[in-house]
Amino acid sequence: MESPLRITKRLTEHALVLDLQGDLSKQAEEKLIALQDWEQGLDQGRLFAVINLTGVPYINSMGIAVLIRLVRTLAKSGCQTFAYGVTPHYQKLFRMVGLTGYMMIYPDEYSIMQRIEGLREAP
Amino acid sequence: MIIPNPGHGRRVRREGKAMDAAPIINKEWVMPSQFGYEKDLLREIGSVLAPFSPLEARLEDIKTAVSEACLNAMEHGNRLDAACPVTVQLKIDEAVYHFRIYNEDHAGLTLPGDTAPADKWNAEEPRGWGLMFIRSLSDRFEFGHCHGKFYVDITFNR
Repeated sequence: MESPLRITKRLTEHALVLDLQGDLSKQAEEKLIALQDWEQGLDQGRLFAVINLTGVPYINSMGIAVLIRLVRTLAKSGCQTFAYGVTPHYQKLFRMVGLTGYMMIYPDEYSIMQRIEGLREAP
Repeated sequence: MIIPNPGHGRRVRREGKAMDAAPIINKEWVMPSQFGYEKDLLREIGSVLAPFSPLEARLEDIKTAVSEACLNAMEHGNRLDAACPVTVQLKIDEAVYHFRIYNEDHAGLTLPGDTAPADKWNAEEPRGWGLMFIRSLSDRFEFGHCHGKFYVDITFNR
């Protein structure tokens, strides 16, 4: 049966990190989309969102649709989304649906934070 | 709980040269139309396929395609009526892994045409990726109606 999805929010200096645990499926709609008003952007004016999928063993097409909605909404409010902890198989599915054009996948949180520093320092 | 059909599951060995369509494995499972049961099925599929040592990437493709077909059967075929079962049959022969996923056939259900990814992205609810995964990850995909049920056939070359 499905593992319930649990979401933990963390704030770093420049990013909002969402640590996901459990299955990314239909249930993600009410838990992730309803977590906050994403159309208002991120906490305290942050421009970067990081989704940690290390603790997500199962993703189906309904979960991917929820990710698309989230990434799309954040992009409209000027926020860039990153993800890590994505298995090669799910990276392939994300590429197939075009999600990797809007959500950059990195091997770990440290490399994402390095990238964010680079983006912030860019002229 | 998904229920293995007791009428299936016997391993049949054929001596000598295998015939093209002679099944090595025949399995059947029945599950209620409730999201989440497809996960139990994926564990069972993994166990059945393990002795055949498919590459991990291949096994993940198979699991995703079959689970998406089950989800479609549950939601669109059986309208998430837990009393309406989804049946999954697996036949393995020398050449292929062949899955057939059945659901109730409400008013001549047919699969929707696959819309372009860009159109799905712009939809208010960007759904409908399951069919694309099934087509892209499998080697052959067919659907039809049989004895009052709608079925999807998904074949993977071994």
